[in-house]
Amino acid sequence: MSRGHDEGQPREPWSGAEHPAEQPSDVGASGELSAEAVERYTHLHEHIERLRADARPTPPGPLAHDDLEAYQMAALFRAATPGAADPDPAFAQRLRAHIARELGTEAPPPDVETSHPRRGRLSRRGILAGGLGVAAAAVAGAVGGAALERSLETTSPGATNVPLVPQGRGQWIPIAAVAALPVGAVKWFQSDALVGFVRHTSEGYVALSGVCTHMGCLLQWNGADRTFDCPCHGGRFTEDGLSAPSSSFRYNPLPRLDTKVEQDQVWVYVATPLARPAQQTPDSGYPSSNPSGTRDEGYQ
Amino acid sequence: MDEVGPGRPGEPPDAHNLQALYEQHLPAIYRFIYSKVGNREEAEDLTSQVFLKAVRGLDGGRDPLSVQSWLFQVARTTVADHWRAFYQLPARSLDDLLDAGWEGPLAANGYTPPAPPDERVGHILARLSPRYRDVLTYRFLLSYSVKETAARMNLSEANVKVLQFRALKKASQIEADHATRGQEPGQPAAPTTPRQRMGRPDIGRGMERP
Repeated sequence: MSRGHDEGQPREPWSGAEHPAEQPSDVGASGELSAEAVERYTHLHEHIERLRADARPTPPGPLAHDDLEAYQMAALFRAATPGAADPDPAFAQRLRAHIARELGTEAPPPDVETSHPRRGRLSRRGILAGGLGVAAAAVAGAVGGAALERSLETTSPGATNVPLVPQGRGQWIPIAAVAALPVGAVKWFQSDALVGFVRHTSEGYVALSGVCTHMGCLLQWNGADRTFDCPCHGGRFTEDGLSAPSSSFRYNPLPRLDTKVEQDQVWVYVATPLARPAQQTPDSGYPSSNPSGTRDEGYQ
Repeated sequence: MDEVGPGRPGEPPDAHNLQALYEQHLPAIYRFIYSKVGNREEAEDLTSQVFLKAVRGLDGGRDPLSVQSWLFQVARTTVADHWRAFYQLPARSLDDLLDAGWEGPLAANGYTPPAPPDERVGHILARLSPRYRDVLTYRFLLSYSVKETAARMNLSEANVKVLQFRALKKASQIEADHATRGQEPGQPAAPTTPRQRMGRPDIGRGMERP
């Protein structure tokens, strides 16, 4: 595994002078790069620049096997750029509507494509601001941190205050009767578009997304430790939705959802089910009709 | 195993439950695909393909527990088809890559999603030489331009392009070694990944200790 040129030192990375016996194969006897080698570097570079622009790259044509691996590794590293690999909310919404149509669970939505701005309104910054730099910080932190400055600039603590569903983009659904949710109680709920927990704290009702920000597994409430635990990779969140100290890795905080109390019900503001007209009103008879799919059991 | 929420083990999910499951898995599937293509345009296309294939292959009796592993399998084959076309691969070389653990070995039971890109990258970075680590950190994690990277590293821009190429190649060797042989005895201990800590079955291949 230890090949000298891996440590390719400052001057010219291809000079190979420190390890003449282990010169990279693309270096000629004179130490000059061949035109072919330069072309390979240039092609990969152009590919990387396309990835960085999040744009479809041009097929490179047939590649040597190990060059192919470099291209694929570029995709992996691009995916580790903080925020890059998070699905665009507008895309998720279009796909959700499409799935709904295929499943026949909902009538075709009237105007999915245009009812929400093309992309970026509910921006990555908005959703991820609290954690945008965290992944980079964690990765860079693991290797020693000369490179942290820029990632930290993008981190703004307290970004969990940006609600997952901004007002005007969703709808209120009733989750539970106020009487059924004493202080300290945590209740799981499911709407057509998302899954979450609502918690009665000393300061009111707090709702959080119930999906692990790591790989999308569904969180479970751990009443003993008062954490949200992810069954997949050991992620843990505090009851406030922050990555818990005991988490296997430091993850982005859980997005928050708006809550309100009205007519003796606790309501949560969730994404609108795209194709079905909003039917849930305070008079809809909830909870007996259970329109939002909440489970009856609450956690205490 | 993993799911709380929509559907419960043993109960056939109805269409609404399945839809909720798809929505829950969308971010993970999207990230997985993104880690294979590295750009939003293709990731969105392929993610849509995966979910539409999955919807059309709907099996009403499917246990919700298996939905995630099923979706990842559909995603794997969809990405493989895409690669084959994009890189003009003969089928054989792709199989070689998959066999080499490119995706991580798939366990028949106890399926867990592939480790996410940031963890895999963290693992690789910890094993790269400082210069390779720096060039990839600047170029990818911090999104520096070639010019900025060159300035930081005291290199010419041409050198940065060479260095990033070599660093990515080295990175792929490290990833492949990890998947097929496990850690080398002489290597400094890597940060333990959560998967390792939790003793997941799908990292078993090649992880035997000396």
